[in-house]
Amino acid sequence: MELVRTEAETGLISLSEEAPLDGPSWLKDLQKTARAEFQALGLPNRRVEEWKYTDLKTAMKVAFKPAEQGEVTKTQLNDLLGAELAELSTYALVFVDGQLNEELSDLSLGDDVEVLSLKAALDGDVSWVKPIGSVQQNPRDAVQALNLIMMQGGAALKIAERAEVNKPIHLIFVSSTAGESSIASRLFFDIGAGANVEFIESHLSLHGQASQSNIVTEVLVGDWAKVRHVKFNEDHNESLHLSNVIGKLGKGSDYNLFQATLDGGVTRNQVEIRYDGDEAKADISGVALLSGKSHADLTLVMDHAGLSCESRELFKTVLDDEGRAVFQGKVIVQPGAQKTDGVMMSKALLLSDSGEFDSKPELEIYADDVLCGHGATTGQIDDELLFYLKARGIADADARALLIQAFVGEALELIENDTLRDYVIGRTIAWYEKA
Amino acid sequence: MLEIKNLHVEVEGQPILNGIDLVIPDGEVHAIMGPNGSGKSTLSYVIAGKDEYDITKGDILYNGESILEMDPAERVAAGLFLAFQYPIEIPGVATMTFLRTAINAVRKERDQEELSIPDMMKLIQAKAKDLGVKPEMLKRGLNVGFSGGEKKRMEILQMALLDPGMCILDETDSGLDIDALRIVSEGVNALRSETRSMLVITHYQRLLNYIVPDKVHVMSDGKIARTGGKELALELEEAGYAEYDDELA
Repeated sequence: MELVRTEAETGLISLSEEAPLDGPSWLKDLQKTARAEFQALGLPNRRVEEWKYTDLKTAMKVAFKPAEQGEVTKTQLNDLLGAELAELSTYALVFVDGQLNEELSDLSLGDDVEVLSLKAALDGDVSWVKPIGSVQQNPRDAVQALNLIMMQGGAALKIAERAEVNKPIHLIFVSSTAGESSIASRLFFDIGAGANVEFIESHLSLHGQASQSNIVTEVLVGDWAKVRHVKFNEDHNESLHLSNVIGKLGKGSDYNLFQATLDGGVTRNQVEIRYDGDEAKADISGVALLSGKSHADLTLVMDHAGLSCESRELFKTVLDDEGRAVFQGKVIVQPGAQKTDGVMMSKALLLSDSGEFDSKPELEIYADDVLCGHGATTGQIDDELLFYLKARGIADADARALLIQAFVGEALELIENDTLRDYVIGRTIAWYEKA
Repeated sequence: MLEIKNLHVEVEGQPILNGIDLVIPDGEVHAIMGPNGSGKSTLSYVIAGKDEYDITKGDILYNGESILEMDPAERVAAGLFLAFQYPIEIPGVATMTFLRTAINAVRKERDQEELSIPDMMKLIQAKAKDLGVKPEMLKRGLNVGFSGGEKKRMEILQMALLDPGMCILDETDSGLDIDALRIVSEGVNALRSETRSMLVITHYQRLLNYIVPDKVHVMSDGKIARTGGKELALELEEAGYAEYDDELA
């Protein structure tokens, strides 16, 4: 097969060749394999089934240079977070251009939480970090492979067994550079059995610059542990944000991931959940509000291997202008994973004639006693609802805003933390007031 | 005062209203009765400003001014209110949020001060209690999971809160049992005043035992075919609509 390299691919390949791969021996082999994989695969494009609707070969014109370590002051950080988020009582872990910044972070998280910067995790002789790179098991995913080679920042967190972490851990990624830059980060969460923890993840830019970020989060959820994770993106309209959350769920565990995407350039939120233990449940939901030429792709694989596991997915997308959303959801029920209960729903609301929603739900079921369903709808604002609100004195624009809020509200309700939910609702309201 | 003058209305080229003339002075309650398909609901939607109707001739004046160029929200601010035959369910919009938004939108348009949240809550809770609207209904999505009777009570609650000068009740009795009908009618009667007029649209005379009209109009084929006092409703109950309905005649 003829291989035509784009400028971005050539750039990424030379960056990957320059990567020192000087980590621990248990990682080096994985990285070398990943390098070979990436060179063979190149950037994913529309001929790759999983990337049919998000062609990175076209979307990524050039590969931005890896970010150099910059500076962010406490005041700048608070300004970026805004009053609503500053109000939220959390343990903040601040990553400036990928690197864990000790001055800006709360590192006294108590005896139950261990935090290591990615560098410390890989340089030290720490045994619990060794799953890094191998929770990720998809050999054909070029973006994950690239992250494994290029990862320059991030952190590893270990939550002790039965720990009740009393405040959410807020992972704040700040890009400080005034020019275009790229960052590859990796997070690794090792959640002990029976632990209860909440993560918030936000991505911010100090100078409102376009960036290319590639973040892989590997999560091991211990038996009966409960994890809440809310990820929020409001990126520059020329940014590229590639995210992978790869989780393995233990017996009886309860994992929620909620992802909110507001505009941005090209965003891909890919989630791969493997149910290893029985009776585990996961709720992977989110909202995307896209205007201009923003493109957001949600691709998920829920792989049920345990007995009596439950998966719930609810995605609400609002599209204005030429916004484009992609939903690819695959529920796999492995042989023997009886009593699996999976419900997947994706709904889009079109506010313009030129928005586009591509939905591809898939069920792969190899067991006979399961309950699985999926649904997808695309529609416009209902004239009957609109008239009813107007007939109560509510002006057209306000009535539309109320209906958009109602549409995304069903999903936003799934954010359990009240302050955080109010914050995300506030951002969505600001979005459609602008739209 | 509501004045409808020689109103002709079409939907997709089909004539529905063929020259309605109707005057409802302040403080009066008029009923419109008539067979199904006579255009009763269309008239209510046209007054409220639903946009799928083409007004080909005539005018609607409220307090002397034409409302035809006003959008539905402006008509509400001017004092018109339509209680829907089938109130719409809106999941995701909490009833309380909806009521607050509507009340303040209307107050703002009427150059009245917006109400603070505590004042608003007090007002809504007091009126809700009068109409037997349970507090938990206010927390639910608008009309979601409400019974037929609860939906109609919610309509009357909205009517009470928006303080209209002209109320149009479109088949408010449909789907109500006798107890619900009484509660809803009491709510409506409590709103009767010298400055407020009402247009009660109904198929059955039953509602008019509770909301006693000053005048009764019979609508047929998109026109007012006959006008009389409240006794006309009883006559119709006896004789039916055969005289006014081509298909029945």
